Amino acid sequence: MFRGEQAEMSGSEILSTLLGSEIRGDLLVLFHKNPGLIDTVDGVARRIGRTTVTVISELRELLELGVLRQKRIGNSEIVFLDRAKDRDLLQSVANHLKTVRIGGEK
Amino acid sequence: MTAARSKTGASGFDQLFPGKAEENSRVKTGIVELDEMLRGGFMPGDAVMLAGSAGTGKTTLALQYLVNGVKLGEPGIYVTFEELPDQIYRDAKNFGWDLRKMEEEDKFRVICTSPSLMLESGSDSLLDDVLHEIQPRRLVIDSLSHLEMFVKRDDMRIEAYRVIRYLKTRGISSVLLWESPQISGGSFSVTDVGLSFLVDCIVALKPVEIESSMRKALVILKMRGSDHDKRLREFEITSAGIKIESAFSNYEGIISGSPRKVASEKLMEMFRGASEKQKKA
Amino acid sequence: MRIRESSPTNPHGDFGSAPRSTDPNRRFAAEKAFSSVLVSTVREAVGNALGHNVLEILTAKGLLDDANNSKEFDRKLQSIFGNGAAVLERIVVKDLNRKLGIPYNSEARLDYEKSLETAREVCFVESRLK
Repeated sequence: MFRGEQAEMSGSEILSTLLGSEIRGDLLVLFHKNPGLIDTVDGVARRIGRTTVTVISELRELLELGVLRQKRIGNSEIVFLDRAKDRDLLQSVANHLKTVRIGGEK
Repeated sequence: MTAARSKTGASGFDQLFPGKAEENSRVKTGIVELDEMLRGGFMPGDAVMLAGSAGTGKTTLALQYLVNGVKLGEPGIYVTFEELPDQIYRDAKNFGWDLRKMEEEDKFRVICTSPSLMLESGSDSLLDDVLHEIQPRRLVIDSLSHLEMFVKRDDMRIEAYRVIRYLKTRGISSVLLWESPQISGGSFSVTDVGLSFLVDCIVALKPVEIESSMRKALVILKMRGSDHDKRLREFEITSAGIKIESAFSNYEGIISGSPRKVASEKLMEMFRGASEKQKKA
Repeated sequence: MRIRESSPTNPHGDFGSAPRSTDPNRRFAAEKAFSSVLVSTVREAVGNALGHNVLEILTAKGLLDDANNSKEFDRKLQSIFGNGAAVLERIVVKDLNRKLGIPYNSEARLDYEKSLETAREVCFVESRLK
């Protein structure tokens, strides 16, 4: 339902989406530390110490981006990391950051 | 023309050279002494129950089985219901096993989910994608005991059977962890919900107190279609994983929880004691 | 060490009244220990959020050179990530606080500099108690 099918985003756009909020940051950290995690939205919210209501819109952003995927299992909707897409997105971010100058960079 | 299969699964030609062919078809744990106890390893496609109380080394043994499988070219999956993958990666690193690297190479996966989701899976299992992705030969479920919390007691056997059948029909050799508060007596039953009969092999781990120190014992309680070592062997968890030592040949009653020295050993001790006294006198 | 309740404007409670160690050697050792914890926390935060490729690129560009200087680090993060800098800083502070046993309130506005100062003082107090 939320599978991302969109025009190619730039590295900087991807970065803005990934780090668009603290909750999105928490979700990224959760799934990067635990790439094999498969859970419901409720379960994911509990794992980052949040309520489902606060998490669901942030989750949608990451589902739209494609870094997370959703699937129906029995009566539950589960979310999990799309490892291949995650790798591609982070590579785009890395490529973008190679061109960015940091203040005081050598 | 299909050759008749022996009780151990070997074909007619294989029966001419039973040792070699059979050894090659076994699923090796990679722990040399354990594979010897199993006469070469587990039978391919078998569901193995690894039972023991908390802290006996079930997770370590299960991980070691998978890691050694990866070294043999057999991808594996570790399904956990309790610990997060992050914790599993850290624990494995202590033994020198880099699970993240194996995952990057698509030879391994740590899957963390809830028992309720595992039970909800009908025709579309939550494991389908990952099985398709890495085509595992081995899989560990840590633990089957967690499923018990989510089903009625009478349904546990059916649910366990569903999981075991799902894995067997895909040709996966599985190790199913079971937290067993006590394994005692000569019974094959290590669970109180009748699961012992569903699995092909049962390996039991048990802490034992001998001369005021805690030691660990491993025994193969059951192995369908194959001979196996019947002795209780001591094992320890080293910095490189499980290491299996010699059999507890000087003791009896270990499984019953009341270990005592065998009569011949007691006699030897008495002789030694008397001899020492004589020397001093 | 008394831990005070956090408030909406001060997410970490008030640790500022803890007496500073006057022993320069002990202070130096504690500073070094804190610096080590902070740098590893920053590395983990960036690595866990954006992957290790990104971490290596940013390390090569000198991002971690000023990890102990919260103002300078914040400036560098802002120059790279814009609004995303605040998200990374929150990840760092959350993890640092967890390691040091400091409560964290996600509702409160984050002052990165003050958060690091609080964590630094807690580290010093802990080292004095050992």
